Amino acid sequence: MRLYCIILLFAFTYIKGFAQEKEPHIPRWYVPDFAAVQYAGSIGFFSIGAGYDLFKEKANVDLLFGYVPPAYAGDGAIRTMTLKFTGEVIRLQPNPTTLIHPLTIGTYFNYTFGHEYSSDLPAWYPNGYYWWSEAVRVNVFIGGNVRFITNRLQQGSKVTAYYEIGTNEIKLASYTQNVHALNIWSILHAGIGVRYHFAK
Amino acid sequence: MKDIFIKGLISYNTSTCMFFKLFIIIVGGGMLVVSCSLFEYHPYETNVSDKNRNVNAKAIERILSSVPPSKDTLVIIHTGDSQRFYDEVEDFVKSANKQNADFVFLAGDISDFGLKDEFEWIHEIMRKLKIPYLGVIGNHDLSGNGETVFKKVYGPLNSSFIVNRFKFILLNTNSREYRFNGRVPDIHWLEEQLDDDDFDRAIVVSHISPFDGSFDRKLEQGYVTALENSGKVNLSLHAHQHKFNDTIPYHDNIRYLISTAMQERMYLLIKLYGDKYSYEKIYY
Repeated sequence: MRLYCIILLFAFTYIKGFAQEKEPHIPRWYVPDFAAVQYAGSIGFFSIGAGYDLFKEKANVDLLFGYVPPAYAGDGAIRTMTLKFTGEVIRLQPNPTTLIHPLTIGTYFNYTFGHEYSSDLPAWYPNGYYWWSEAVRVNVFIGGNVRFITNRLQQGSKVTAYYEIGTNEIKLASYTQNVHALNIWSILHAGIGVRYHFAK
Repeated sequence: MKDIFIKGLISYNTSTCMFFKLFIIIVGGGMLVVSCSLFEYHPYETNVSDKNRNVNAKAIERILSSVPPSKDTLVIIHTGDSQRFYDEVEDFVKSANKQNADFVFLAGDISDFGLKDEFEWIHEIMRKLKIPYLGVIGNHDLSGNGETVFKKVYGPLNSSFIVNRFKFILLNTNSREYRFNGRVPDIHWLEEQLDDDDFDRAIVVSHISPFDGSFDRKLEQGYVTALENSGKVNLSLHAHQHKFNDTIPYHDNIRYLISTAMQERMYLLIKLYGDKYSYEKIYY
Protein backbone atom coordinates (compact mmCIF):
# COMPACT_ATOMS: atom_id res chain seq x y z
CA MET A 1 0.00 0.00 0.00
CA ARG A 2 2.71 2.46 1.00
CA LEU A 3 4.81 1.65 -2.02
CA TYR A 4 1.74 1.98 -4.24
CA CYS A 5 1.02 5.45 -2.89
CA ILE A 6 4.57 6.63 -3.37
CA ILE A 7 4.67 5.33 -6.95
CA LEU A 8 1.33 6.98 -7.63
CA LEU A 9 2.59 10.28 -6.30
CA PHE A 10 5.76 10.20 -8.36
CA ALA A 11 3.70 9.25 -11.38
CA PHE A 12 1.49 12.30 -10.87
CA THR A 13 4.51 14.55 -10.58
CA TYR A 14 6.09 13.06 -13.67
CA ILE A 15 2.94 13.20 -15.80
CA LYS A 16 2.48 16.83 -14.86
CA GLY A 17 6.00 17.77 -15.88
CA PHE A 18 5.75 15.73 -19.04
CA ALA A 19 2.39 17.20 -20.02
CA GLN A 20 3.77 20.67 -19.58
CA GLU A 21 6.80 20.16 -21.78
CA LYS A 22 4.91 18.64 -24.68
CA GLU A 23 1.59 20.51 -24.64
CA PRO A 24 1.94 23.60 -22.48
CA HIS A 25 -1.39 25.14 -23.53
CA ILE A 26 -3.71 22.14 -23.15
CA PRO A 27 -4.39 21.48 -19.47
CA ARG A 28 -5.43 17.93 -18.75
CA TRP A 29 -8.32 17.78 -16.29
CA TYR A 30 -7.25 14.45 -14.81
CA VAL A 31 -3.78 15.56 -13.81
CA PRO A 32 -3.96 16.43 -10.10
CA ASP A 33 -3.31 20.02 -9.09
CA PHE A 34 -1.43 19.06 -5.95
CA ALA A 35 0.12 16.21 -3.98
CA ALA A 36 -0.39 16.00 -0.21
CA VAL A 37 1.26 14.46 2.83
CA GLN A 38 -0.54 14.49 6.19
CA TYR A 39 0.31 13.52 9.76
CA ALA A 40 -2.50 12.22 12.06
CA GLY A 41 -6.03 13.61 11.59
CA SER A 42 -7.65 10.25 12.50
CA ILE A 43 -6.96 8.82 9.02
CA GLY A 44 -3.45 7.40 9.55
CA PHE A 45 -0.15 7.94 11.29
CA PHE A 46 0.73 9.50 7.97
CA SER A 47 -1.24 9.77 4.76
CA ILE A 48 -0.23 10.52 1.24
CA GLY A 49 -2.30 11.46 -1.79
CA ALA A 50 -3.26 14.05 -4.38
CA GLY A 51 -6.13 16.37 -5.22
CA TYR A 52 -7.72 19.06 -7.30
CA ASP A 53 -8.52 22.73 -6.83
CA LEU A 54 -12.21 23.59 -7.02
CA PHE A 55 -14.15 26.84 -7.48
CA LYS A 56 -11.20 28.98 -8.64
CA GLU A 57 -8.97 27.70 -5.85
CA LYS A 58 -11.44 28.60 -3.08
CA ALA A 59 -11.88 24.92 -2.28
CA ASN A 60 -10.20 21.63 -2.98
CA VAL A 61 -10.70 17.90 -2.86
CA ASP A 62 -8.07 15.35 -1.77
CA LEU A 63 -7.82 11.59 -2.04
CA LEU A 64 -5.49 10.32 0.68
CA PHE A 65 -4.19 6.88 1.59
CA GLY A 66 -3.38 6.49 5.28
CA TYR A 67 -1.26 4.04 7.22
CA VAL A 68 -1.19 3.27 10.95
CA PRO A 69 1.74 1.06 12.04
CA PRO A 70 0.87 -2.11 14.04
CA ALA A 71 2.21 -0.56 17.28
CA TYR A 72 -0.74 1.86 17.28
CA ALA A 73 -3.30 -0.57 15.85
CA GLY A 74 -4.73 -3.97 16.71
CA ASP A 75 -3.48 -7.22 15.22
CA GLY A 76 -1.87 -5.52 12.22
CA ALA A 77 -1.41 -2.18 10.52
CA ILE A 78 -4.48 -0.10 9.63
CA ARG A 79 -4.86 1.11 6.03
CA THR A 80 -7.39 3.73 5.08
CA MET A 81 -8.64 5.81 2.16
CA THR A 82 -10.01 9.32 2.61
CA LEU A 83 -11.97 11.67 0.39
CA LYS A 84 -11.64 15.18 1.79
CA PHE A 85 -13.33 18.46 0.84
CA THR A 86 -11.83 21.69 2.15
CA GLY A 87 -13.28 25.17 1.71
CA GLU A 88 -10.94 28.12 2.22
CA VAL A 89 -13.30 30.65 3.77
CA ILE A 90 -11.14 33.68 4.51
CA ARG A 91 -8.26 34.72 2.27
CA LEU A 92 -5.47 37.13 3.19
CA GLN A 93 -2.59 38.05 0.91
CA PRO A 94 0.14 39.85 2.87
CA ASN A 95 2.53 39.83 -0.10
CA PRO A 96 2.55 38.62 -3.73
CA THR A 97 4.10 35.28 -2.87
CA THR A 98 2.05 34.41 0.22
CA LEU A 99 -1.59 33.53 0.86
CA ILE A 100 -3.05 32.90 4.29
CA HIS A 101 -6.36 31.13 4.94
CA PRO A 102 -6.96 31.64 8.66
CA LEU A 103 -10.22 29.66 8.47
CA THR A 104 -10.90 26.55 6.47
CA ILE A 105 -13.96 24.33 6.86
CA GLY A 106 -14.30 20.83 5.56
CA THR A 107 -15.50 17.28 5.77
CA TYR A 108 -13.93 13.93 4.98
CA PHE A 109 -15.11 10.40 4.52
CA ASN A 110 -12.68 7.82 5.77
CA TYR A 111 -12.82 4.17 4.74
CA THR A 112 -10.76 1.57 6.61
CA PHE A 113 -9.68 -1.47 4.60
CA GLY A 114 -9.85 -5.02 5.92
CA HIS A 115 -12.56 -7.60 6.65
CA GLU A 116 -12.11 -7.02 10.41
CA TYR A 117 -13.64 -3.56 9.96
CA SER A 118 -17.07 -4.33 8.56
CA SER A 119 -18.85 -1.83 6.29
CA ASP A 120 -22.29 -3.18 7.10
CA LEU A 121 -23.63 -5.61 9.68
CA PRO A 122 -22.42 -9.18 9.05
CA ALA A 123 -25.09 -11.84 8.42
CA TRP A 124 -24.84 -13.43 11.90
CA TYR A 125 -26.23 -10.31 13.60
CA PRO A 126 -29.95 -9.53 13.90
CA ASN A 127 -31.05 -6.37 12.03
CA GLY A 128 -30.17 -3.19 13.88
CA TYR A 129 -27.85 -4.93 16.40
CA TYR A 130 -25.26 -2.18 15.74
CA TRP A 131 -26.22 1.03 13.95
CA TRP A 132 -22.78 2.27 12.87
CA SER A 133 -20.21 0.96 10.42
CA GLU A 134 -16.73 0.05 11.61
CA ALA A 135 -15.18 0.83 8.22
CA VAL A 136 -16.69 4.22 7.41
CA ARG A 137 -16.23 7.41 9.46
CA VAL A 138 -17.60 10.82 8.59
CA ASN A 139 -15.57 13.75 9.89
CA VAL A 140 -16.05 17.51 10.01
CA PHE A 141 -13.26 19.96 10.75
CA ILE A 142 -12.07 23.53 10.82
CA GLY A 143 -8.49 24.58 10.28
CA GLY A 144 -6.16 27.02 8.60
CA ASN A 145 -3.31 27.15 6.15
CA VAL A 146 -0.54 29.26 4.69
CA ARG A 147 0.46 29.01 1.02
CA PHE A 148 3.51 30.45 -0.67
CA ILE A 149 4.98 30.42 -4.14
CA THR A 150 8.26 28.62 -4.40
CA ASN A 151 10.51 28.24 -7.41
CA ARG A 152 12.71 25.70 -5.77
CA LEU A 153 11.33 22.56 -7.40
CA GLN A 154 9.36 23.94 -10.30
CA GLN A 155 8.97 27.51 -11.55
CA GLY A 156 5.70 28.91 -10.09
CA SER A 157 4.76 25.95 -7.93
CA LYS A 158 3.20 26.50 -4.51
CA VAL A 159 3.42 24.87 -1.10
CA THR A 160 0.63 24.88 1.50
CA ALA A 161 1.09 24.00 5.17
CA TYR A 162 -2.22 23.26 6.92
CA TYR A 163 -3.75 22.08 10.14
CA GLU A 164 -7.20 20.73 10.91
CA ILE A 165 -9.15 20.13 14.12
CA GLY A 166 -12.32 18.08 13.95
CA THR A 167 -14.33 15.12 15.09
CA ASN A 168 -16.28 12.21 13.67
CA GLU A 169 -19.95 11.25 13.86
CA ILE A 170 -19.60 8.64 16.63
CA LYS A 171 -17.56 10.90 18.91
CA LEU A 172 -20.01 13.72 18.24
CA ALA A 173 -22.90 11.39 19.18
CA SER A 174 -21.05 10.58 22.42
CA TYR A 175 -20.57 14.25 23.23
CA THR A 176 -24.05 15.60 22.45
CA GLN A 177 -25.52 13.06 24.86
CA ASN A 178 -23.03 13.81 27.66
CA VAL A 179 -22.26 17.51 27.74
CA HIS A 180 -21.63 17.44 31.50
CA ALA A 181 -19.25 14.50 31.74
CA LEU A 182 -17.39 15.09 28.46
CA ASN A 183 -15.36 18.11 27.51
CA ILE A 184 -15.52 19.32 23.89
CA TRP A 185 -11.73 18.96 23.66
CA SER A 186 -11.99 15.28 24.49
CA ILE A 187 -13.83 14.49 21.25
CA LEU A 188 -11.59 16.56 18.96
CA HIS A 189 -8.66 15.28 16.96
CA ALA A 190 -6.11 17.11 14.86
CA GLY A 191 -3.96 16.65 11.82
CA ILE A 192 -1.28 18.66 10.03
CA GLY A 193 -0.04 18.40 6.50
CA VAL A 194 1.67 19.86 3.47
CA ARG A 195 0.39 20.21 -0.09
CA TYR A 196 2.65 20.71 -3.07
CA HIS A 197 0.81 22.50 -5.92
CA PHE A 198 2.23 21.80 -9.35
CA ALA A 199 2.93 24.84 -11.51
CA LYS A 200 0.13 25.62 -13.94
CA MET B 1 19.17 25.95 -15.94
CA LYS B 2 21.66 27.74 -13.72
CA ASP B 3 19.74 30.95 -14.35
CA ILE B 4 16.47 29.49 -13.18
CA PHE B 5 18.12 28.12 -10.11
CA ILE B 6 19.60 31.51 -9.16
CA LYS B 7 16.34 33.31 -9.87
CA GLY B 8 14.57 30.80 -7.74
CA LEU B 9 17.08 31.28 -4.98
CA ILE B 10 16.72 35.07 -5.04
CA SER B 11 12.93 35.05 -4.96
CA TYR B 12 13.09 32.47 -2.23
CA ASN B 13 15.44 34.62 -0.16
CA THR B 14 13.38 37.81 -0.44
CA SER B 15 10.29 36.01 0.78
CA THR B 16 12.11 33.89 3.34
CA CYS B 17 11.89 36.28 6.26
CA MET B 18 8.23 37.11 5.72
CA PHE B 19 7.36 33.52 5.07
CA PHE B 20 8.99 32.18 8.20
CA LYS B 21 7.35 34.81 10.38
CA LEU B 22 3.97 33.90 8.97
CA PHE B 23 4.72 30.22 9.10
CA ILE B 24 5.60 30.42 12.77
CA ILE B 25 2.54 32.52 13.61
CA ILE B 26 -0.08 30.54 11.69
CA VAL B 27 1.16 26.97 11.64
CA GLY B 28 3.20 27.18 14.82
CA GLY B 29 0.23 28.70 16.63
CA GLY B 30 -2.08 26.07 15.24
CA MET B 31 0.32 23.30 16.18
CA LEU B 32 0.72 24.62 19.70
CA VAL B 33 -3.02 24.47 20.21
CA VAL B 34 -3.34 20.99 18.81
CA SER B 35 -0.12 19.37 19.87
CA CYS B 36 -1.43 18.51 23.35
CA SER B 37 -2.65 14.97 22.67
CA LEU B 38 -5.08 15.97 19.93
CA PHE B 39 -3.18 14.10 17.23
CA GLU B 40 -5.12 10.94 16.52
CA TYR B 41 -3.96 8.33 14.02
CA HIS B 42 -7.25 6.47 13.74
CA PRO B 43 -10.47 6.13 15.79
CA TYR B 44 -9.40 2.50 16.39
CA GLU B 45 -5.86 3.36 17.49
CA THR B 46 -4.80 1.42 20.58
CA ASN B 47 -2.09 3.55 22.20
CA VAL B 48 -3.62 3.63 25.69
CA SER B 49 -1.75 5.96 28.04
CA ASP B 50 0.23 4.28 30.82
CA LYS B 51 -1.91 5.64 33.63
CA ASN B 52 -5.00 3.92 32.18
CA ARG B 53 -3.47 0.44 31.90
CA ASN B 54 -3.94 -2.79 33.91
CA VAL B 55 -6.97 -1.53 35.81
CA ASN B 56 -8.10 -5.02 36.90
CA ALA B 57 -4.68 -6.12 38.18
CA LYS B 58 -4.32 -2.87 40.14
CA ALA B 59 -7.87 -3.30 41.49
CA ILE B 60 -7.16 -6.85 42.69
CA GLU B 61 -3.99 -5.64 44.40
CA ARG B 62 -6.01 -2.92 46.17
CA ILE B 63 -8.80 -5.35 47.12
CA LEU B 64 -6.35 -7.80 48.65
CA SER B 65 -4.75 -5.07 50.74
CA SER B 66 -7.97 -3.22 51.69
CA VAL B 67 -10.32 -6.11 52.60
CA PRO B 68 -9.33 -7.48 56.03
CA PRO B 69 -8.69 -11.27 55.96
CA SER B 70 -11.13 -11.66 58.86
CA LYS B 71 -14.02 -10.05 56.96
CA ASP B 72 -16.58 -12.81 56.37
CA THR B 73 -19.12 -10.72 54.43
CA LEU B 74 -18.13 -9.22 51.10
CA VAL B 75 -20.17 -6.38 49.64
CA ILE B 76 -19.96 -5.86 45.89
CA ILE B 77 -21.60 -3.46 43.47
CA HIS B 78 -22.71 -4.95 40.17
CA THR B 79 -23.43 -2.73 37.19
CA GLY B 80 -22.75 -2.62 33.45
CA ASP B 81 -23.52 -1.10 30.07
CA SER B 82 -21.91 2.29 30.64
CA GLN B 83 -21.76 2.71 26.85
CA ARG B 84 -22.35 6.34 25.84
CA PHE B 85 -23.89 7.17 29.27
CA TYR B 86 -21.03 9.27 30.68
CA ASP B 87 -23.25 11.73 32.54
CA GLU B 88 -25.01 8.78 34.20
CA VAL B 89 -21.68 7.12 35.08
CA GLU B 90 -20.72 10.29 36.98
CA ASP B 91 -23.91 10.00 39.02
CA PHE B 92 -23.30 6.29 39.54
CA VAL B 93 -19.85 7.05 40.99
CA LYS B 94 -21.35 9.59 43.41
CA SER B 95 -23.95 7.06 44.56
CA ALA B 96 -21.52 4.12 44.79
CA ASN B 97 -19.15 6.22 46.90
CA LYS B 98 -21.90 6.47 49.55
CA GLN B 99 -22.08 2.68 49.89
CA ASN B 100 -19.97 0.66 52.23
CA ALA B 101 -18.91 -1.75 49.47
CA ASP B 102 -15.62 -3.54 48.87
CA PHE B 103 -15.42 -3.27 45.08
CA VAL B 104 -17.37 -2.80 41.85
CA PHE B 105 -17.94 -4.94 38.75
CA LEU B 106 -18.55 -3.05 35.50
CA ALA B 107 -19.94 -6.01 33.58
CA GLY B 108 -19.35 -5.18 29.95
CA ASP B 109 -20.31 -2.76 27.20
CA ILE B 110 -18.02 -0.30 28.90
CA SER B 111 -17.68 1.40 25.52
CA ASP B 112 -20.21 1.72 22.72
CA PHE B 113 -17.95 1.66 19.65
CA GLY B 114 -14.80 -0.02 21.00
CA LEU B 115 -12.86 3.26 20.76
CA LYS B 116 -9.77 3.81 22.89
CA ASP B 117 -11.15 7.27 23.67
CA GLU B 118 -14.34 5.77 25.12
CA PHE B 119 -12.44 3.40 27.43
CA GLU B 120 -10.34 6.32 28.66
CA TRP B 121 -13.38 8.57 29.15
CA ILE B 122 -15.08 5.88 31.27
CA HIS B 123 -11.95 5.17 33.29
CA GLU B 124 -11.42 8.90 33.92
CA ILE B 125 -14.86 8.94 35.59
CA MET B 126 -14.69 5.52 37.27
CA ARG B 127 -11.32 6.28 38.84
CA LYS B 128 -13.17 8.74 41.08
CA LEU B 129 -14.63 5.72 42.88
CA LYS B 130 -13.26 5.38 46.40
CA ILE B 131 -13.23 1.60 45.99
CA PRO B 132 -11.56 -0.46 43.24
CA TYR B 133 -13.51 -1.53 40.15
CA LEU B 134 -12.98 -4.29 37.61
CA GLY B 135 -13.99 -4.27 33.95
CA VAL B 136 -15.57 -7.30 32.26
CA ILE B 137 -15.62 -7.56 28.45
CA GLY B 138 -18.91 -6.87 26.62
CA ASN B 139 -19.92 -7.29 22.99
CA HIS B 140 -19.66 -3.57 22.17
CA ASP B 141 -16.16 -3.54 23.67
CA LEU B 142 -15.09 -5.96 20.93
CA SER B 143 -16.03 -3.60 18.09
CA GLY B 144 -13.13 -2.23 16.00
CA ASN B 145 -9.88 -2.83 17.90
CA GLY B 146 -11.75 -2.88 21.22
CA GLU B 147 -10.31 -6.26 22.19
CA THR B 148 -6.75 -4.91 22.01
CA VAL B 149 -7.76 -1.76 23.90
CA PHE B 150 -9.66 -3.75 26.57
CA LYS B 151 -6.63 -5.99 27.17
CA LYS B 152 -4.44 -2.93 27.65
CA VAL B 153 -6.88 -1.08 29.90
CA TYR B 154 -8.31 -3.98 31.94
CA GLY B 155 -6.30 -7.13 31.18
CA PRO B 156 -7.13 -10.66 29.95
CA LEU B 157 -10.71 -11.31 28.75
CA ASN B 158 -10.99 -14.30 31.11
CA SER B 159 -9.55 -13.83 34.59
CA SER B 160 -10.17 -14.65 38.23
CA PHE B 161 -9.10 -13.72 41.75
CA ILE B 162 -9.76 -14.95 45.26
CA VAL B 163 -10.62 -12.77 48.27
CA ASN B 164 -11.24 -14.38 51.66
CA ARG B 165 -11.97 -17.74 49.99
CA PHE B 166 -14.48 -16.20 47.57
CA LYS B 167 -13.43 -16.74 43.98
CA PHE B 168 -14.59 -14.24 41.37
CA ILE B 169 -14.46 -15.44 37.77
CA LEU B 170 -14.64 -12.84 34.97
CA LEU B 171 -15.66 -14.54 31.72
CA ASN B 172 -15.91 -13.47 28.08
CA THR B 173 -19.36 -14.73 26.97
CA ASN B 174 -19.75 -12.56 23.86
CA SER B 175 -20.15 -15.52 21.49
CA ARG B 176 -21.75 -13.58 18.63
CA GLU B 177 -18.64 -11.38 18.26
CA TYR B 178 -16.67 -14.55 17.51
CA ARG B 179 -19.31 -15.76 15.05
CA PHE B 180 -20.43 -18.51 17.46
CA ASN B 181 -17.19 -20.39 16.85
CA GLY B 182 -17.73 -22.73 19.82
CA ARG B 183 -14.74 -21.37 21.78
CA VAL B 184 -16.39 -18.36 23.47
CA PRO B 185 -17.10 -18.67 26.33
CA ASP B 186 -14.15 -20.94 27.12
CA ILE B 187 -16.00 -23.66 29.07
CA HIS B 188 -12.82 -25.71 29.56
CA TRP B 189 -11.10 -22.73 31.24
CA LEU B 190 -14.21 -22.12 33.36
CA GLU B 191 -14.23 -25.76 34.54
CA GLU B 192 -10.55 -25.50 35.46
CA GLN B 193 -11.20 -22.33 37.44
CA LEU B 194 -14.06 -24.00 39.33
CA ASP B 195 -12.04 -27.16 39.93
CA ASP B 196 -9.39 -25.66 42.23
CA ASP B 197 -9.81 -26.09 45.98
CA ASP B 198 -8.22 -22.84 47.24
CA PHE B 199 -11.68 -21.26 47.63
CA ASP B 200 -15.05 -22.11 49.17
CA ARG B 201 -17.51 -20.15 47.03
CA ALA B 202 -17.38 -18.83 43.47
CA ILE B 203 -19.27 -16.07 41.65
CA VAL B 204 -19.16 -15.91 37.84
CA VAL B 205 -19.44 -12.46 36.23
CA SER B 206 -19.96 -12.04 32.51
CA HIS B 207 -21.69 -9.66 30.13
CA ILE B 208 -24.10 -11.99 28.32
CA SER B 209 -26.15 -14.56 30.24
CA PRO B 210 -26.32 -18.17 28.98
CA PHE B 211 -30.03 -17.81 28.12
CA ASP B 212 -29.46 -14.80 25.83
CA GLY B 213 -29.52 -15.12 22.03
CA SER B 214 -25.97 -13.75 21.74
CA PHE B 215 -24.59 -16.60 23.92
CA ASP B 216 -23.48 -19.62 21.90
CA ARG B 217 -26.39 -22.12 22.06
CA LYS B 218 -23.90 -25.00 21.77
CA LEU B 219 -22.22 -23.86 24.99
CA GLU B 220 -25.24 -22.97 27.13
CA GLN B 221 -25.50 -26.44 28.67
CA GLY B 222 -21.71 -26.58 29.19
CA TYR B 223 -21.82 -23.33 31.17
CA VAL B 224 -24.77 -24.44 33.31
CA THR B 225 -23.25 -27.85 33.98
CA ALA B 226 -19.86 -26.36 34.92
CA LEU B 227 -21.54 -24.18 37.55
CA GLU B 228 -23.74 -27.01 38.86
CA ASN B 229 -20.91 -29.56 39.02
CA SER B 230 -18.65 -27.28 41.04
CA GLY B 231 -21.20 -27.17 43.87
CA LYS B 232 -19.66 -23.83 44.86
CA VAL B 233 -21.67 -21.43 42.72
CA ASN B 234 -25.11 -20.05 43.46
CA LEU B 235 -24.81 -16.66 41.77
CA SER B 236 -24.14 -15.78 38.12
CA LEU B 237 -23.96 -12.03 37.36
CA HIS B 238 -24.67 -10.43 33.97
CA ALA B 239 -25.65 -7.27 32.09
CA HIS B 240 -26.31 -6.69 28.34
CA GLN B 241 -30.11 -6.75 28.34
CA HIS B 242 -30.47 -3.23 29.82
CA LYS B 243 -33.31 -4.61 31.90
CA PHE B 244 -33.20 -5.97 35.42
CA ASN B 245 -33.80 -9.68 35.75
CA ASP B 246 -33.67 -12.07 38.69
CA THR B 247 -34.21 -15.66 37.65
CA ILE B 248 -33.36 -19.28 38.45
CA PRO B 249 -33.90 -20.65 34.92
CA TYR B 250 -32.29 -24.07 35.21
CA HIS B 251 -33.98 -25.43 38.38
CA ASP B 252 -30.59 -25.91 40.01
CA ASN B 253 -30.79 -23.19 42.65
CA ILE B 254 -28.27 -21.00 40.81
CA ARG B 255 -29.57 -17.46 40.61
CA TYR B 256 -28.88 -15.31 37.54
CA LEU B 257 -28.94 -11.57 38.20
CA ILE B 258 -28.95 -9.12 35.30
CA SER B 259 -28.22 -5.48 36.06
CA THR B 260 -29.75 -2.60 34.12
CA ALA B 261 -27.76 -0.23 31.92
CA MET B 262 -26.32 2.94 33.48
CA GLN B 263 -29.09 4.77 31.63
CA GLU B 264 -31.68 3.18 33.95
CA ARG B 265 -29.85 4.65 36.96
CA MET B 266 -29.90 1.48 39.01
CA TYR B 267 -27.23 -0.93 40.25
CA LEU B 268 -27.17 -4.00 42.46
CA LEU B 269 -25.59 -4.00 45.91
CA ILE B 270 -24.82 -7.64 46.66
CA LYS B 271 -23.78 -9.08 50.02
CA LEU B 272 -21.98 -12.42 50.13
CA TYR B 273 -21.54 -14.37 53.33
CA GLY B 274 -20.58 -18.04 53.12
CA ASP B 275 -23.01 -19.84 50.85
CA LYS B 276 -25.64 -17.14 51.41
CA TYR B 277 -26.24 -13.89 49.63
CA SER B 278 -28.66 -11.02 49.48
CA TYR B 279 -29.02 -8.15 47.09
CA GLU B 280 -30.61 -4.76 46.94
CA LYS B 281 -31.54 -2.56 43.98
CA ILE B 282 -30.10 0.92 44.44
CA TYR B 283 -31.57 3.75 42.36
CA TYR B 284 -29.65 6.98 41.84
